[in-house]
This record gives sequence, C-alpha cells and structure tokens, in this order.
Amino acid sequence: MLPPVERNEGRYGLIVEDQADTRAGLAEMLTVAFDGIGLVEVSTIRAALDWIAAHARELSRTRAARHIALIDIGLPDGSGIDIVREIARHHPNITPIVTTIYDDDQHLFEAIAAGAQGYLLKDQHPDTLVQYLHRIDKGEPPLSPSIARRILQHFSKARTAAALLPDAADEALTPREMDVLRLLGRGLSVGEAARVLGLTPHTVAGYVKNIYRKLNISSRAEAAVEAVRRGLV
Amino acid sequence: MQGAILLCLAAVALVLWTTLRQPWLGLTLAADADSHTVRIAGVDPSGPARALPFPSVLHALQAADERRPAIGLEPGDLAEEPDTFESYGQIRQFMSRQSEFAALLREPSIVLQFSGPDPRSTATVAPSGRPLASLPLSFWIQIVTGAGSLLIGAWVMAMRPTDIVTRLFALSGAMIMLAAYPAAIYSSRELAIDGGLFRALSALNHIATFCFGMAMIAMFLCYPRRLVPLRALWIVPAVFVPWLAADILRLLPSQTIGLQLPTLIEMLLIVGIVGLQWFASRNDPRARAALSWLGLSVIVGAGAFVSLIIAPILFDSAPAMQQGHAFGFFLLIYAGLSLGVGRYRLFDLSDWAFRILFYTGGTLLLLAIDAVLITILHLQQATSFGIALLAVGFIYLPLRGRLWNFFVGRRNLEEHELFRAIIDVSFAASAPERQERWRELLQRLFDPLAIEPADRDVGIVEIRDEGLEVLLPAVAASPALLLRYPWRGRRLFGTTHQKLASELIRLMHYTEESRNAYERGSLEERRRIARDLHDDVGARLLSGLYKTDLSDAQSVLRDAIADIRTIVSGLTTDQPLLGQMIAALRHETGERLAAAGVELNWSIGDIDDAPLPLDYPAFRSLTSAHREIISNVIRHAKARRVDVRVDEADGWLGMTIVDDGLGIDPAYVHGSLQGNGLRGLMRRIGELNGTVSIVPLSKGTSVEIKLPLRAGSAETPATRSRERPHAAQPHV
Repeated sequence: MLPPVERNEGRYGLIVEDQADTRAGLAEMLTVAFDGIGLVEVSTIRAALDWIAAHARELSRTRAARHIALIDIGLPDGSGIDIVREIARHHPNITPIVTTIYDDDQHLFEAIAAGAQGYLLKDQHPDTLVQYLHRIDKGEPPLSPSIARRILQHFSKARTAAALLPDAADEALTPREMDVLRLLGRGLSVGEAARVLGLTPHTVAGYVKNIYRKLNISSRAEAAVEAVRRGLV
Repeated sequence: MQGAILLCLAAVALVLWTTLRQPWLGLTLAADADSHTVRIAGVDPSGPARALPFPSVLHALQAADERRPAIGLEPGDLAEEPDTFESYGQIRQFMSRQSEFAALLREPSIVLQFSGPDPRSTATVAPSGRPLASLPLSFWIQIVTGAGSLLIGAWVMAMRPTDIVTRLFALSGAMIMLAAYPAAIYSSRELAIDGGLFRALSALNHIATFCFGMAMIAMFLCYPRRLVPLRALWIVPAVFVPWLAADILRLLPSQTIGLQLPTLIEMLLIVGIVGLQWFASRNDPRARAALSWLGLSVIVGAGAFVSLIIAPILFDSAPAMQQGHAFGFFLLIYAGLSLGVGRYRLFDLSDWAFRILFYTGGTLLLLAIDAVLITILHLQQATSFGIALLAVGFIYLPLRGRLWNFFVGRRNLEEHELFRAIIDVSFAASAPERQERWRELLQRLFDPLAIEPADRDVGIVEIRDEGLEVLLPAVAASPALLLRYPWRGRRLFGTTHQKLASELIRLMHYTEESRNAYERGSLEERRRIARDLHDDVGARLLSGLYKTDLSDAQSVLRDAIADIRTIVSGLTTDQPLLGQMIAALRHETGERLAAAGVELNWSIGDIDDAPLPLDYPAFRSLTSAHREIISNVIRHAKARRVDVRVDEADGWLGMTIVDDGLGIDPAYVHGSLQGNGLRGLMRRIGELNGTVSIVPLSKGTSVEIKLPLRAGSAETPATRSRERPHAAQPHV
C-alpha cells in the first residue's frame, strides 16, 4: 500500500549516518517507502545542521511534518540527539527519527525527550523498517515496552516536578494515555492495545503521539526545574 | 612501704590519742567579730553541757571552787590557726590564754557564764573526755590527706627507690602529713589546748610547710629534666632553713614575714621553675607530658592552698576557706602526682591535665572577680557573686573553649570529612596511589615527623614507647606503618588517637572489602559478557560465514545483533523480570510476524505480573529459543496465525508456540535432518534442565518449552536428570 508517487514530490529525506553502506541502505529504504522523495545524505552533525539552515525557507513552505530526517546517534562530531533537538524546536516541518543500532533505554529515552518522533533499529529487516516508516508517516510512532515503562516512571516522577513548575502540570498524562502506556509496556502493539481498550487504532496512535509530545515538553520542564534548583537560571 | 604504713598508723593513733584526751564540754563555739563575743552555736545533746540553751552567748568560764576569777572569752581564742595572727606578740598572748583555758578545763567542774533567752545566767558543767564522733569533718580531711600523701609518696619512692626525684617527692608527701596532723589537733580543739603543746604543734606545722616547698623546688629543678647540678640543690635549704629557724624562734618582725612570705616565695619559685622546665622540654614530648601533669598538679593543688589560705593573710584579709578543708587539695595533688612521677600511662592524662587546669582557672577567676567586686566596689556578697558568675560564664567559658582547642583539640578533620578521606584512599585507582593517599591522610591527622614501614604487624593499633610511636596494621595496600613523633614531636599519642586510628583502620577495611566485592562483581560480569559473546554471537557469526545465500547470511547477522542486545539488556537490569521479558518478546514477535504478514495472538496473562525471578541464563536461553522458533515459522511454515501462551505451574515455566502452517517434518525433530538451530536450541534448554517438546498437529506445529524457575529449582541438576532421563530430548 505505497502512497501515490505525486504525494512525495518536493519532499526531502535527510539521512545523517557516518557509515557509507548503512547510509546507502537507509537511502534505498526511504526511496522504497516514499517514492520520489528527495534524498540528502550527510555524515556529520555540522553538515546536517548546515543543510537544514541553508534550506530553512524552502522547508518551511511545505506543510507540517512533511519531511523526514533519519538521524544516527553516534556521529563523528557528537550525538545526533542535538540535531533532533534543533529540528524539534525550530523546524516543525521535519519529522526527526532516530536510527540506531543499540536500543538501550537511556539513549532512546533521551532521543524521545529531545523530540524524536520515533526510532528505528537499523538491523531490522528492510521490509519491517519500511513498514515502520509508513506507520510513523501516518502518525503512529513506535514505542517499545521498555521505553513505555520508562515514560510511565518519568511521568510519575514528573508529578513532583509539576508541583514546582505550574506549566508542567498541563502536560501530565491523562488516565487513558496511562492505560495505553501500560499496555504498550506489556508488549502489545497499537492495534492490540486499541482492541483491549475498545478504541480505534487511530485514536490509540493519537494518544501515543500525545505521549511523545508531552514527554518532550515535560522533560524540557524538568530540565528547567533542575536548572532553577541548581541556580543556573 | 610497710614502714610507711606503720608510720602512718602510728601517726594517726598519736593524733587521735592527743585529741581525744582533751577535756570536752560538748559545745560548738563560734566567734562573732561584730559584737566581739563568742556564741554557742550548738550543744551536743549527749555532752556534759547539754542543759545549755542555744543560740546564746558565752561570756566567761570559772572554776567551780571559785579560787580564781572568771576568765572572759574573746573571739580570737577560737582562731583555727595561730598563723593568722600577724605579730608574734599576739601569738604569745593567744598561747598564754590557751594555757589558762586549758588548765581551767582540766578542773573537775566549771561554771559557764552565758546569756541566752534570759540575761546573764550560769551553769555548772563537768568536762569529760572527747568522744570520737564529735570530731569535725575538717579533722578527718586532714587525717586522710596526711595519710594519703605519705603513702602515695612512699609508694612512688618504692618504685624507684634510688632516684632523687622520687625521694624528694616522698619527702614532700611526708611533709604534708607533718603539716596536716598538728593542724588537725589544734584546729579541731573545742576551745583550748595547752599553750606549750600548741606552740610545738605549730612549729611542726611551720617546719613541714617550709620543707614541702623546698622539696618541691628541688624536685622541679631535677624533673623532668635536670636544670641544675645536684650539689646546687643545697642552695634551697641554705636559704630557707635559716628563715624557718628565725620564724620558729620568733626573731622576725612579724609572722607574715616569718611564714606567709617565704611560703608565697616558694610557691612562686615552683611556678617559675615549672615554666623553665616547660621551656627546657620543648623538644621532648615525653618530658613535657610528665611535666604538664606533675607541674599542673602542684600548681593547682598547692597554688589553691597558698592563694586561698596563705596569700589572704599576707594581704591582711581573712582566709577564703577553712584551712582544714583546704588541706584536701593536697590529697588531690598526690593522687595525680603519683601517676605523673610513676609515669604510668602518662599520655592518657594529658587531656585531663588541661581540663583540670581550665576548671581550676575558672574557679580561681570566679573567686578573684568576686573578691575584687566586694573589696573595691563594696558590693553585697550575693550580688557580687552573681556578677562574677556571669562574667565567668560570658568571658571565661568561651575563652576556655578556644584555649582547649588550641592546646588539646587540634582535631583537623570533621567526622564526615574523615569518611570522605577514607573513601578517597580506598577508591584510588592503583595500589601505589592508595598507599600514597593513606600516608597523606595519616600525615594530615597526626602530623608525625616520620612515617616508616614497621618491622612487624600486630594487627591492631598499638601505642609504643610511651606514646612517642604508634604502630598501625597493614591497610590500603600499605604495609604496617610506624608513626613517630606526632605533631612534629610536640605531643604524644594517647588513647583518643588510638581510638581514632582504630576507627580509621576499621573503616578502611570496610571500604576496601566493598571495593573488592565490587571489583569481583565487575570481573564476573566481564567474564560472563566474554563467554556469552563468544558462545552465542561468535558461534552465530561463524555459521554466517558459511552461508552461501545472502538473505540467510543477513538473517544470521540480525540474530547475532539480537543476541548482543539480549546479552546487554540481561546485564543492564540487575534482575531481569519475567514480565519484562515477556513484554519484550511479545513486542518483538508481534513486529516480526506483522512484517511477515502473520497474525500474532498472544494475550496478556496473569503471569505477566508475576514477580518471578528468572536467572540470566534461563532468560537468555528462553529468549533465543523463542526467536529461533518464530524464525522457523516465518521461514518455513507459511503460517497465517501464531498463538503464544506462557504459564507457570509448580515452579516450571512453560511457553507454548502453536502455528497453523505446513507442519514440521518429523525428520527435523529427531535424527539426521535436525537443523543446526533446532539442535542448538534443545542443547541450551537441556543445559538448564528444561525440556523441549515438538508436537506436529493436524494443521501446523506446537512447540512447548519447559524451564525450571529459579525459585522452584531447589533440586540439583543431578537428581532431576535421573528423574527425567529424557530431559532435553524432544518428545514426539
């Protein structure tokens, strides 16, 4: 069920990856997933940020989340999460997705907190990856069980932070979102979770997106609280 | 020593005999200086004068036969100590009156003239012998002080009989007895003793007072360091013996010059010589420790006596307390002195020496301020005492704290800093660095002149050479150490430091054990990672090398990466929980099957929440077996749907995977065609005493894996393999 070719015209796919073979594999995968997408392949943070800066105007002319950026975490000149953060703050037209080899919670959680809309494990079968990309494009970011559990933990801790910073209180999770997280934390897919909760998969996917957004805001708020506490601000 | 005890007993007996054969009326008399009268302050209810009323005023005494006129009483007749009279003329007069009264009291019956509630009445009383119970407290203080001083001095001399210092010390102790016992007799008299006896007793008291001072001066000239040659010590009696003779023969203008002045000079000489000794022993901590104790005891004890009893008379005022009580100071000195001279664990006493000095300092300051306020500002006694107390509280106590810290405290590490310092030592990167930091810490704590490896290790902190050295057991990669001359040789090691050092060693052992346990743990972890990487990832990659088909090779590589992930996640959580493992597998399997277009039916079960501990090998084997089976289904079964069920019963974990595909060729299950993956799977599960059953269904296959949970795996593998001879063999 590939989207019509014409939909991908004027759409950019930015690949930030320092391994040439892997970069080529990701490029092919993007082409398969979004036929006609304009590929930009870079291998450093510097080059990625330069390209984004140079094309900022052109990128902003399209609708939100139109473009896709696949970003590796371990890059020669630093952590790809910096790019994710930059995109999440200033370029709403780009969907930042982390592509990595290790799925350790620490890095992935950090990536989501920085504003990543999803993460992909590069060693998965290309077919699986293409499927993920489509799901992300449809607004259904993937969430592994361990990450789901971590997010739950984060929000129960964030409740104390919310007491310090009133803005953060708006970003607390709703009971439904908590339910979704709990089910995903047990390894259910979005579709299965929807069935268990008696909702449509689309609604549950919306919850997941919300969770991503709130985590992003909440972790920023937490950082602010931390900064106040340490007297940095 | 036995001689000293006999002498002591004889002296006590003599004093008691002399005192108890004095005539006794059973009156407690008090001088009233304002009205120049003598009051009867108390009457012994069983004494001869029990009929007398009190309080009343006693005017005169007369023999019952009235052969001679009555003798009127004066307050001066009650003087506790004739030394308080300034001129020898006054003393002569006092002594002759004492003789008259004493003669009178020896009459069988005497008439007392007194005025109580009724004006001027008389009573006739027959004096009796004095009962033991009527002797006042001050009498006993002097008896005990004299006996104690003599015995302690003798005891110290017995330890070092040939030493001039201990002889002088024993002499001074004997002199205390010689001063106290005559004073005990005359100062506890009811009214009078014979003037001749009185004069003799007083002379003995004076001789003893002079000699005590001389003995002390001579002693401090020799101890702890010899300041002058032995012959030069004769200068001391050369000066004071003629002075003493002149005093006893009453050749001097006044008793103040005859007794109080030389006593004060002796005291000042003692203080001065102690000061010289302090200076002379600046590089000798042992000598200084001995001196600080000894000098302090003498200055505090004798100083208190001189300043409370002798000095006030010299400056024309009344003694600050009863002389009999003040004698008690000397006993305290001797108890302390004996320890000092005997050098018995001297270093333990250094803190106490300062403490006593400060308390005495506070008391003397209090008395001094009080005296100044009364004499100069003419304040009421109660008011001035209150002010003095406040002044001491606000000025002296904080000052004392500072002085204490200056002289004694000097603890340069707080409790929490100490712990941090120990952690710093323990967790230094290398053994030489730990050793270096340990030495630095010791240097910081004790500031010794030398830290050197000890020739032996006794396993505990040991103070040696009277506190000059401390021996520390081996710790922190360092051999046993000998610390010498603490605080640059200014002080000695004491039990406080021993305790501190022991605490240090204890904490060091504790942190080192923790560190070793941690290192052992991480080493084991490292070994496990190495083993797992080699066994699992290595074996898989090796098989990938021989794959000719690209997609097969890719799938091997993916499995290898998944293995790495499992190995890593098995280590990053302390205890992989079953629920977490199931969640991760459910997610992964769901994604894989979805990509292959296969439906997964794996419901959430109760077991997901069960807090079952699963040890790491079981966790890894189950995960990898499950992956292998799912891979087989995706690759070969052409299934449309997979059902997974996980349950737990009787300490066994069961996982059943059912697909609706083509079904497995029985030849794969057992025999020659058994695939590499399947065989490896069975071997792994078998190693964990688990079983794998592969059951072909009418449509598809059912694979069941059973593993013992750690909680229920109390049986040894040996017994289990006997009970289950076909363990790890597929049941078809």
